[in-house]
Amino acid sequence: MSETGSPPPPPPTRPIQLASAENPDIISQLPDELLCLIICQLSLDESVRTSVLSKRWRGLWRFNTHLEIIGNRMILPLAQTQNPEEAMDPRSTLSRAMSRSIKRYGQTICSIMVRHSSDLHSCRITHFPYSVRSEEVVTWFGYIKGKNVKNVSLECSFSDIGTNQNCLQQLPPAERFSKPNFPTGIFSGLCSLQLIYYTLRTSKPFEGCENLMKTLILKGVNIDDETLDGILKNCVGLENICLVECYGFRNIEIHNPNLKVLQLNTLVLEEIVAFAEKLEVLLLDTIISPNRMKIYSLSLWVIHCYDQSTFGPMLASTVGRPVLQASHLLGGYQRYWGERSNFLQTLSKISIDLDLNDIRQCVHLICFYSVCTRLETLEITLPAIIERLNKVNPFWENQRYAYDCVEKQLKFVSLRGFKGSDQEFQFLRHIIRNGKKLEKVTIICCQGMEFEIERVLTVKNASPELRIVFKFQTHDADQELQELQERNLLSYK
Amino acid sequence: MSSSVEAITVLSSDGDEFKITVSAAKLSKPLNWMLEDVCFSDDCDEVPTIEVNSKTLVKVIEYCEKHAPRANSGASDSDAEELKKWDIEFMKMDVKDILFHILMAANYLHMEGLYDLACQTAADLMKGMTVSQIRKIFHIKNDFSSEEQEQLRRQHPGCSFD
Repeated sequence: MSETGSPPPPPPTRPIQLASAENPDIISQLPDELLCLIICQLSLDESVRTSVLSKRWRGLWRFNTHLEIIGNRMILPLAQTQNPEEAMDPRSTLSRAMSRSIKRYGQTICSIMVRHSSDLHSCRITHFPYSVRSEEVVTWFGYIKGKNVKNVSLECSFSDIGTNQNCLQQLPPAERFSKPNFPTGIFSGLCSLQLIYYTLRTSKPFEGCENLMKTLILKGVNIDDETLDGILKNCVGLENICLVECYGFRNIEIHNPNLKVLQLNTLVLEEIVAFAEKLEVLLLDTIISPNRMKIYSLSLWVIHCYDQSTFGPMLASTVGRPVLQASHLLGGYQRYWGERSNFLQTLSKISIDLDLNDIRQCVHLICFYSVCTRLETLEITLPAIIERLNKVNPFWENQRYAYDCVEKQLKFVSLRGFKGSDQEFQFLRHIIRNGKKLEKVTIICCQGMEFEIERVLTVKNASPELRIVFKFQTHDADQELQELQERNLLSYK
Repeated sequence: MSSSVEAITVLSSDGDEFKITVSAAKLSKPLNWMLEDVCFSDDCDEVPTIEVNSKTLVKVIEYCEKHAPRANSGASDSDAEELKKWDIEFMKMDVKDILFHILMAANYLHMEGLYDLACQTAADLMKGMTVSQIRKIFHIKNDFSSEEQEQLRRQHPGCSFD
């Protein structure tokens, strides 16, 4: 198919014929590269442990291109990870032993880093607040930077295992907020960085990250407006930004011509401003409603907006402002999106939490898609638990005609958490009856809804190509709630 | 090349014939090159040999056929989830018998997806296991003396060698 001529096929190397009958130890016959790739997937302690399997395995871990250093695992001996209760009690012998090993943890990691002998592609370290206090984190970072690492994730636990307290809390605020004292420009050279449960009060470590850094994920980070602003202004090469459960700031202002994906989860905000012409995907999950929101992009094609997190109501009542609802964001788009925004012309997919049993939300949805010109995919997630069903209201029935969006654009519709209520059925009927371009309707529901399914299948479809697919959830409402907490676009791998 | 055929025939290293659709074969770089170089048409009698034994090749082809539709066209997220579940089922296979043959085959056929999947599966078998459990699962013979083991233990603080 290539017209320019295909690349010359390299002589395929003959695979080593693995003997099996006489020697059942097949894995040890694999070439080093393959064994390394396998043990790369293990956490560091497990990967090092393979050294004692046999001589064949000795020292292989030293060529891992990925290190996964998990504090919990290094401090809790394997046999005791099964018994976390004892570890939780600060007076227990186990707990005291762990306190001691926390203090040695920094050295342990350094000695392992010294033994490791190849360049690193990525590294993930989880540790305890003690290591922040004693600035060990900065030392480790020096080691992995020397190995030309490109992708780093650093995670600090809530409390020090053994004492069950966060030793940082005892420090005076000025010192607490300055730790770990990341030197200026330390993050330069990285392609992606994830920081979890840190405090940032200066953007200086991000100096020199202008071009290379593409992905930044901050989770549970305490950061002030000035620092966040400094980081965002500095890292203009960022293509993916993800802020999850961060606090200490009120505004997000992004002016970035390279940004493609913006994910914001569980944040309390006054203002979101994003001028990002290449922004393609926007995810907003449990955002305490910003008073002002301006998003300008020439390429936005997917919006995800979720509001069902169980954490949302709690956060909302603390702040005294409601969680931004998907229907509001869409229905009130003129208010939220600013005058210069023209995202409706490029938008082809929306994925939202919406209660079809709430007529007001349905009105918002209709308002929105009545003005979309390219919308092809509509994904709706119904609340995992519906508290009460409203009286039957022939709302969808009364939609005498369908908007162009439904009739001429929509190709894929998915409804997750279908409970078979009348309102939900009417919505599906409206879509199926009118959607001439529809290719696939996916309905995700519990088992044992034969009657409701039958009812949907009897609706006359406008599109000859239509497939209606039912998928059954095997878990209950609580597990569904749990799953809805974790709808991430960007995750560190 | 001719794109008129929908499926091609290949030989396994054991000499058995297998059919594989063109779209599935494209998942492998060497096979794709072969497709572009060799004339495949109905009257063509050239049958390329793939240096993979029959038992493994059956599984590899099964994987290719399943993944081909998604690789060739963008599919939705829900399909991706389904495929993941299928992968997990697919990988439930005997370690000694076939897993590593698949890994080698994926390496040889440059199939990144299958390769990662097989590596991941092998690694998952080691996770949370003690050294002696791992040795048992993979039939690895311990050829260290107890002094050598003790020395290794000392060299790697923080890593349990139980």
